[in-house]
Amino acid sequence: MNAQEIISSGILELYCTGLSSAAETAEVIQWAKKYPEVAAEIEAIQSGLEDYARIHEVEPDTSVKEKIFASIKIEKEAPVAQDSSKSKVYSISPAWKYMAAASVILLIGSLYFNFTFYSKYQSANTELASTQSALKQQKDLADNMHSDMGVMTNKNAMPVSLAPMPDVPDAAARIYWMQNTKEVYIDPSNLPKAPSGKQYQFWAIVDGKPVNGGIITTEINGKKVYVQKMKSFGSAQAFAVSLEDAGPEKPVPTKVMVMGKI
Amino acid sequence: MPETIKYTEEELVIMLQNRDQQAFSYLYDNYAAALNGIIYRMVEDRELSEDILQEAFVKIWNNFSSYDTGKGRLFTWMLNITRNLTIDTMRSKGYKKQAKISSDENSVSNLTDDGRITERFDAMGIRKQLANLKPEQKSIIDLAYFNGYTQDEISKEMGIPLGTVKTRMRAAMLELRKMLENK
Repeated sequence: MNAQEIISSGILELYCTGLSSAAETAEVIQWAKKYPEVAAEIEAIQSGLEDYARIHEVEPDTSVKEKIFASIKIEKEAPVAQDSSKSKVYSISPAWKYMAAASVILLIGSLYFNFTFYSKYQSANTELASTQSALKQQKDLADNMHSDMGVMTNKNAMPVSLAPMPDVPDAAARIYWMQNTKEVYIDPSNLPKAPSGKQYQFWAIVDGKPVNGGIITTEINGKKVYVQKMKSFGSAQAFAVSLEDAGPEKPVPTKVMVMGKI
Repeated sequence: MPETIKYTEEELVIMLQNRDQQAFSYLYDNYAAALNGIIYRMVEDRELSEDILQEAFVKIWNNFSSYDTGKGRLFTWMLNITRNLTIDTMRSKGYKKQAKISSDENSVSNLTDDGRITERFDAMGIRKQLANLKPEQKSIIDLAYFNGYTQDEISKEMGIPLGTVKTRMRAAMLELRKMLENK
């Protein structure tokens, strides 16, 4: 039979609807391999029957799918359990045991040295930091002194000694008044430490009246402050320092401690 | 039932050969109703039909390695498993095959009115055309395809010589295919 005869015989339809005998079925499978037209015709008949089945669909209850999946999952897990029961025991040769032991010892040794060196590194780091900070303090101090010296030795600086009032004989201060720039510097280091809640204020006496020259800083972080810049004055007859309550600058002095006439 | 992923039959087969459960889920969503429709027409019992469907799908999963793409469409292979299982079940339960296919009481339209059929496949036009299929043509397809009758049984049921079952079937299928292609 040629392909066309096979197709028109109806045997393929019987095969596709499940009516063919075992012998016929075997024959059809052979033909399908031999003739592409036969294979295509089988495909077309099956496709038609598939559509026909789809026209007749009856939706099953949703529980059916759940039951199917529950069933196939159990079957899937079973072989896994079987595999694990057959786990093998591997022997290790003595040479490897020694190698393993040696590597563990090396590891422990390495960990010890790591720890020791790390500790040393840490303390060296701390020492370095404190040395650097001490050096910076020294440098700051030197810078301050250098700038103080600059003020004192400036050729335009007019020094004015502020003398103590009779009731505070220990107090003293020194002014450096720059004649060119009119800047005023004060060295308050000889003033007694201001009582707590009090501060010193600087004054210039201009035309017989006290004019605020700013608050004097005597200490920063417990360290005595030396020469510092105050407000500038173009003309003044005298300079003075008063003791005031801590807070904002006062408009008039309360208790004058030291004073110096030009 | 909206499907977001679409697999070709080839992709589906490869995934199933690799025991992909997601592909199996897709397979179920796409073919369960069609297979169930066939089982239902054979056993005419919803509960039994679903029991057989369940068994069939487990069998499809377990025996998937034996599916050979060279032997035909995936659906045909699944259908053969399902139909054989149904026939076995009916025999074991002492069912007697009763041909009701040619009568109107079991026709497609009746089932549709009951709302028991899913209209995933747009079948309205085809159904109208199927009505044009000669009753004996529809019968011969249904007896073989849905009822699992043998050639001999069809010959007796329809009162036609055994030798003509083949040619009748060919004519009926050609008619059906023509209708499906014209849809």
